[in-house]
Amino acid sequence: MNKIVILVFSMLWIEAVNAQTVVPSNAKETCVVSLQLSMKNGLMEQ
Amino acid sequence: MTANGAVNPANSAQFSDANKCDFYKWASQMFLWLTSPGAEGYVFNSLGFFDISPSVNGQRFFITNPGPTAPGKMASNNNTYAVHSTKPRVPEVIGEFGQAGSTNGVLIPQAACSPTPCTSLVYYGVHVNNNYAVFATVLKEPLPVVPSFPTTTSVPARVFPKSTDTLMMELKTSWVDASIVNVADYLTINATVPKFIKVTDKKWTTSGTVTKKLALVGMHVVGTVKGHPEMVWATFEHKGNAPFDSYYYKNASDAVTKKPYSSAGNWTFMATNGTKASANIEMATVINDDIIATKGNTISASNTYIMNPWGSLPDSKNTKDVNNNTLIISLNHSVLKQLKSTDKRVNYIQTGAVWTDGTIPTFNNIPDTPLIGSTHLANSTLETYKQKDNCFSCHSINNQASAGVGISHIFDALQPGGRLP
Repeated sequence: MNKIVILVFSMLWIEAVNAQTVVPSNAKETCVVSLQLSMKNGLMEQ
Repeated sequence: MTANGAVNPANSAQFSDANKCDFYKWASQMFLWLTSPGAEGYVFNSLGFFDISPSVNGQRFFITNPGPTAPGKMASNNNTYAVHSTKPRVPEVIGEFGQAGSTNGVLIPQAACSPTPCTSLVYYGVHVNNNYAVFATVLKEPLPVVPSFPTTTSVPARVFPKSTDTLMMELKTSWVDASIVNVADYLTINATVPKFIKVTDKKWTTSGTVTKKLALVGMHVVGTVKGHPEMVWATFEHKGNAPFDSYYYKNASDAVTKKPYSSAGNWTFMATNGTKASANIEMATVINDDIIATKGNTISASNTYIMNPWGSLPDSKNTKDVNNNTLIISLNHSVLKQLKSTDKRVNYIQTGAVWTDGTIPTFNNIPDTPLIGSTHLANSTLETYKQKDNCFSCHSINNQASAGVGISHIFDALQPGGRLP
């Protein structure tokens, strides 16, 4: 049981490691976008 | 916004190139639009786009995307993708000089061969939008030559019907067998891919095709915008692909901060704690549709890392590089925080984009045509073994008298067939 818990925790931790390390969370805010959302499906907009 | 919901495309025809951020914003808006749900699946897989066939005797063909299905449902038709190495082996318009990607290298994910036999290569698709297809079709007819890709919606009617605001777009996508990744974190699609049979550790042959669910690991988003016939060349990667080499960026306190290389954790193309010295080694190439191990190697998974983080040289404290790294990181944060955690696109990041002042680079004067943005940009899944180059190293023209459309390597090989309005 403990091994299963440790395994699951490890998998979650690994995912978290990747997510955190690829894009630093403390970068200076120099480029901000306001996404243009669509109320339709994307095909209708192309 | 709704998880996996629709995003509008950027307006390429009204594009403002006031600063670098504008280009990165254009790229991310386009990526999110391309991966938005369309009536037939993702937008890039809808009737507004064509798949492009692998080269057959130097010719490529438009492949119409699957027809309509119920909104939000994936089409039942399968896509046809090819392995990277089935790119034309005859000299391309410019490829015989730059040859970016033409080493015909084969990339195999870490988990694909454990246990054996190997279950996945990296598979590649090429796609263009309808504007590009119409332009390519019309230009093949005996009409006045348009030397470069249009950067406006209106060009002489005899040459080119009015296009939509997305202008010319060309995409290249990279995929792995979805069974080797956590599929919940990936955009997926069904596709027909070449089937390979192991003959020895050093040789695999092809035998027909097999249908697979594929998971997206990379995408080049390339297109013209107002004033830029050279196209903006942007690329996106799944966050779990490969670690970055070390780089510097500015933190919220404006302090230059080092982000060291780290391969800890789980990566699709790098062993946990794998070293840079062991990485980016081409283990196999394709020769005459067979996969052949390179000298001293067996056909196997290999380690990969991103040599030029955010398209800048590694470990560079150069102000231009630090600022550019910071811009792209900031842009990614801005995008990601607007997506719900359950949106699969939250797992993809833009790793950079590159363009010029509007001049189409020639092969002979690349140093004289300053590149702007991520000037050392490559995708770890698309140019794994050519990361020392950048997009324009190969996608350039012979000289300024050459047709500007030569920056697109598929253009000359394409046979007319784009859908005319």
